[in-house]
Amino acid sequence: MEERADHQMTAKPLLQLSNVSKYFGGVKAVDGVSLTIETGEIHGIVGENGAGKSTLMNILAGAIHCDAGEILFDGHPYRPSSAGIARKQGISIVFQETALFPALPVYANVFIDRELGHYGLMDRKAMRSKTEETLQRMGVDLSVDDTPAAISVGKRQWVEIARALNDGARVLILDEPNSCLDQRETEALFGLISNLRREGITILYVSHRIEEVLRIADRVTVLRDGHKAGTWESAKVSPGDIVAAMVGRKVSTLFDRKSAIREEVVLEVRDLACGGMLEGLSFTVRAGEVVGLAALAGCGITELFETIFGLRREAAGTVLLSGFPLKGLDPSETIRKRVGFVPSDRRGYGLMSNWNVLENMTIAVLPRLSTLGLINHKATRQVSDNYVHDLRIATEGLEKQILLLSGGNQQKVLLARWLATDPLLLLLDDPTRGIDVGAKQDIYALVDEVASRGVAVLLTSSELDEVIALSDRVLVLREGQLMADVPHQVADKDLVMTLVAGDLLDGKRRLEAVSASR
Amino acid sequence: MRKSDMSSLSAQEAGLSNPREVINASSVVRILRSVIGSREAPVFAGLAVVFTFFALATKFFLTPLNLFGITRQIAILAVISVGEAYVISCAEIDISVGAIYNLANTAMAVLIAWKGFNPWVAVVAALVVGALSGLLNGALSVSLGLPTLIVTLGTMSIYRALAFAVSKGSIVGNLGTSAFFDIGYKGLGPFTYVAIAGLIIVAFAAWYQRNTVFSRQVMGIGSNAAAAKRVGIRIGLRKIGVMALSGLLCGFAGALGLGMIGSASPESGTGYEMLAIAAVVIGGTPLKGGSGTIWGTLLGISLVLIIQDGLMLMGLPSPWQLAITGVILLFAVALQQVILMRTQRGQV
Repeated sequence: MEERADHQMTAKPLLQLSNVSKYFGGVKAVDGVSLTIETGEIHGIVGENGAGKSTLMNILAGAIHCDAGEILFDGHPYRPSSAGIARKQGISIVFQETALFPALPVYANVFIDRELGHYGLMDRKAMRSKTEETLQRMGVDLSVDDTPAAISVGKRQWVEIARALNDGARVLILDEPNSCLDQRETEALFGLISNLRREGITILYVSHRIEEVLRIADRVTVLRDGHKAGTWESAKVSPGDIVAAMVGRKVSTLFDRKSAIREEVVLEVRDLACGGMLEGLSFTVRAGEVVGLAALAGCGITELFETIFGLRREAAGTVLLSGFPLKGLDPSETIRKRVGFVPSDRRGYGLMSNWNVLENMTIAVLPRLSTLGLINHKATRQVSDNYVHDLRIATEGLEKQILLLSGGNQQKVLLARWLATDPLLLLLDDPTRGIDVGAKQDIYALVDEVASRGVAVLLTSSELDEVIALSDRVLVLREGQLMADVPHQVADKDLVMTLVAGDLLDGKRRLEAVSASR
Repeated sequence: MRKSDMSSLSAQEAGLSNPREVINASSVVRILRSVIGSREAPVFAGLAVVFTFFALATKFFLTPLNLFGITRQIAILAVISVGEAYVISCAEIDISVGAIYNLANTAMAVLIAWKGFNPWVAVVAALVVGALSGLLNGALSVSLGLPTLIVTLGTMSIYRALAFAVSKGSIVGNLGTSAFFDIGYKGLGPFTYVAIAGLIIVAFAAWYQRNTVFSRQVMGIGSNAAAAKRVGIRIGLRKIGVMALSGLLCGFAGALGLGMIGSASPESGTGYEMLAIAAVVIGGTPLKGGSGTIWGTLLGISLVLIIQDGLMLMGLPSPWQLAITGVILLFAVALQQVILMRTQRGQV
């Protein structure tokens, strides 16, 4: 408490943001944010996906320029033209996915691009001892000769932090630093952060995990839709307050679904476990039912989809499709059993980039549109024509190269690719990622229609609103386990957010209460 | 060829002109543009220029004897290059094609000369030897998870050594007087049977590429292997298939070569891998796979061999001939890169 009193006494804050804004096209990613960061504080930044956290942090780190507003750093105007210049001035960002050279030893990574030496010859000894010094300051147990390839994800983060400190960082931005860490590694990270504070380093801590942010940070700022929803002292605020601030007032529902659940169970998952990411998962999806999955990013949903689809064979447990076991099948076989999967990484795992619309749309169903291995061109054309029409895909023709379409239309082509195979079960991993609002509505309507025709749909989205609006039930995963099964009628964002990232027990109590009152 | 036209056409239009212009253009202009804008057009133009140049620059180039010889040579290498085009469209590469040609060629000669096989029956043996060699390439690559570049780098030496062992390192001649050994001299009109056979293979391959699920899936792997896996394409199986196809075609080329020359030399097929790869790339198939053009490949190999032939007639030493082939290859790759960058810039 005394420390905090000190902050208040300081004449000048270390960082002062006034009305900082950033627009991407017509979208306000950051809208008039004013914020002060005191010297030596740990400042938590929370908010949903798309709330503007990353954009704001990238502005501070010099990777993005703000369109309006002013930033004072140490009382001087701060407008870095690049990340390199920001780093030189003392603000460094450590990303959630590490950017290290896996085969170089720790000290070489720490001094990358800033190697010590004379006449182009490296002074390894000096670099090693300097790195050792830095690691000691951080209070971590790490050998300077290890390579990132040989150490855990948590320790790789230490290397990045050491690199930033070595550059003379006074402000360290940690972007989702513990999203991939287990409990023990998180504790180690928190210990490290405390040490850094003692060294006088100011830390901006961006995270989804509300309770942990409240534990480590002195103050917490909540961003919502690019605005600042407020800043609170951690000691004086509850996780529930933070969730309420993140969610904001009730917005009108994104989409009105008509439930069309049928009797027969299409997908049955029993005791599924997968490489530490998933544990004892059991649930069912009925024909015509849309089941949504809610979890923090990188917490097992993609692994679940890939396991069902046959891309991961190492999983333990049972997966049944209309009673037939799917386990041990590869995608070519699960597709034949009529499972479809739209992956979240459209460019990486979905599109054949140099192919046209027709080729992309018919590749999965091609074996069925052929006789003795010969393609029935008339049939492929007809199928594609129908879907271009039905899904209102804006393209100049079936021969248009897929990359020349908008993201929304590309996504519709990928959905058509699977609809053409007449699936029993459709897995949609973040189907509206990076597409415009109009196309999103089209995809919502499509999910609704597909379900009404009896297809079982299992989906997730990086936007919680979507998961809630589209699903008959929302399954909450936390630490790889199924924590709650929230029916559509009672699924509001505040409750689901609490179950996903807030106080789990509180969330469960509230779920029981609303369920009972129904 | 229509398939590859489709993608290349839209790619070029996007890069070279404003899409609205394309819509409003009259259909005549559009057809003209599709011909001019097709991936094969620059190669065809280059071929026409080179042909005219040599026809004017040397007396011997346009003689029936020379044209006879050059079309035969083009036919044999076109058969090999077509297989290479398939491999490259799958984003792999086969540098053992010359060695497989050599092995099939030698094995066939040995069967005829020393085991008394009927040459026509021995053709089947050449095909089997070729296909098995390719199959082994594919199986090794898939089972070891290694790129075919590395695997075929190893097997090319092994296949050549095998051929050497089979022939005991000698030229295998005295193959008798079967009609099979006339295929390089007789024919229909200006074309030898070898040239006709090559043309039939190319035409069939172009048809096959456009119309089969296999071909589409092979190109899908080349375009995006991760996505291909996710649409149920069995990548390992297809890769083995495409390498076996390449081997089979090398085997066939080896048989044509034996029929034409009448003897098998331990040196036969040397350098064919480079000619084939150059032909495929010059023809417009991108090295990173995802699409391929068979007719373009034929144009590519024609261009390369006509230039080498013409330069030889002009008395240029062979290192210079090779250097000029190299320059054309680099030019073709650079052109592809420019088109690719333009397409990406045209992206929405």
